[in-house]
Amino acid sequence: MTETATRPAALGRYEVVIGLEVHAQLLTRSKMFCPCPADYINAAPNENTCPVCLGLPGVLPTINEKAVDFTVRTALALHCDIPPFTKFDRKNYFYPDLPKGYQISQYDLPLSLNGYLEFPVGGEAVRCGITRVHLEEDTGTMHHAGDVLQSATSSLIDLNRCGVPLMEIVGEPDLRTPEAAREYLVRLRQILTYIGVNDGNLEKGSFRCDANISLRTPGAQELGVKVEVKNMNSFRAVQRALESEIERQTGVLDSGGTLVQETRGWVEAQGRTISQRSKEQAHDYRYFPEPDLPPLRLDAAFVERVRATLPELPEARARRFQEQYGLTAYDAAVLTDTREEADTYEALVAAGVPAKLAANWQSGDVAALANEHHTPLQHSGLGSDGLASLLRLVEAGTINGPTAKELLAELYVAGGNPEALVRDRGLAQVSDTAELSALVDAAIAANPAAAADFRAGKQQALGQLMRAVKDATGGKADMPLVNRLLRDRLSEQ
Amino acid sequence: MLARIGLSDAEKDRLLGELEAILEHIARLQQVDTSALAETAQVGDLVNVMRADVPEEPIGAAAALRNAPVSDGNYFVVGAIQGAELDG
Repeated sequence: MTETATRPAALGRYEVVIGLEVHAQLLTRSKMFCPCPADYINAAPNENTCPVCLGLPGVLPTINEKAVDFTVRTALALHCDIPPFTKFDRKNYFYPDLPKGYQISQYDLPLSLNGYLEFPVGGEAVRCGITRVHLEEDTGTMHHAGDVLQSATSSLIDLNRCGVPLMEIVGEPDLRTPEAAREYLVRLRQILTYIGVNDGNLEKGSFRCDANISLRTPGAQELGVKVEVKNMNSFRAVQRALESEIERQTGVLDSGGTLVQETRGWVEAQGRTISQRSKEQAHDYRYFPEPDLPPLRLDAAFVERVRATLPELPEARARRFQEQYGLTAYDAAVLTDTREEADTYEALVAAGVPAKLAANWQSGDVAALANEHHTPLQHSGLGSDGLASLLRLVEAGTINGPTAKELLAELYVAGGNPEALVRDRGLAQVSDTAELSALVDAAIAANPAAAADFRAGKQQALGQLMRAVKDATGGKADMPLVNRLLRDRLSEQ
Repeated sequence: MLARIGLSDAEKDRLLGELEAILEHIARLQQVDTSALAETAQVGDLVNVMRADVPEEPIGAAAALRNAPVSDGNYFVVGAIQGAELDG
């Protein structure tokens, strides 16, 4: 266990101890132990199957090299050690979603051990140990009967997902609050998507989390009775489930009761966990080494080759953005939230857009449009090259802010060349001092009351005069210049 | 129950005797002192046998379901089973 952040839980009578287990599907094209396509979502049920993943007799599994590479990449990003020798084991489990009768997993010699993850919680840096990251295979999916055609006593089995590479990331019980558990998952998901091994979709189940939680008297060395919580398919659900579980366990302990070691499922609609099975019923998985798969010897050269493929990780990139581009910690965090976002930002700066201007537009209007149209900039009509041209026009003073906003919204959907559009439509900013001075005089003459109010000290009266000049130019006036000209003229006696 | 192996009474009688003989043999093996031996999971010397991540044509649902005792459309159908899920 590494250095632990101990933020006391809201209910201070007990110390809360949380450890998370994450299962993340790897973004390989084929399955873990057979060459069936790994895409289980877009195929009709049971289409992507073969004798290996169907568990038919007489077949031999083979190890997907990419899955090993991705797991080692993850382990290195999480500061784990990569032992020189690793093997697969059979985890025996008799259930129809895994027709072999066992899951190929890793037991005593996993691909990696002893890492950690650092992340901020309420402005404070927290470090959580990573016990291990290992490789296994996913199960098929079961649809329990419910519709009219099916009697309530049967289940439908689809084995497309069976054998999809699954990485298990086991965290140490270092987390002390539901909020810290949530932030751990947010950062872990960010890293997995940054390094391109997982798509981070909690709702669809490609990134899944189970939590172990117990309470103990503050200062106690031994852990309390552990409850495993499942069925949480959003970050919010994880936090709420753990909060509800703390409340329940506190209630049991306060009333002199005893907690039982069990698995509980989070029921979103009811906002509480429900007992699924107690540990007395738990399986004896009878692990033994997988005789059909030769072990792996991953030498230092292999590990270094994988390390060289690691991109700059989000935390380091955010730090560099602050130093290199003079961004605030907040802006740097927003702009490095995803790798695509950070790449876009650096493309804008490389294309000659000043760092601060690029940051403001990207995290402001562009983010709002991406959200509104459910389309990131890279897939919009404008693209990051188009945005760079548009922002260069702003920086050069060719167009004003409001014109740029309107063009951005239009081009985001329709696409087009900002420079050509500004030229063809005559959208260039009016910043000719003589022309604007004449319009300023006309505005003062047409709005004598507003002019008098401003001269009498009412600052807000200037707005009406600014609008009059803006309208007279069809919205194209250089407004900071108009502001200065109006103030100059109105201060003359 | 899950394995769906159909056996006649005569076969059950015969297998009972064979299983007993197997269990006796295992019991005898368990008496051997293996504390000085390394665990043997592999008989060959192969290591690092891996395949490239290249998908191949699967056999498809029709072929996959050919031996299924019960199916419905593209799905295998099994009796509902409660309370046993893999921990991970």
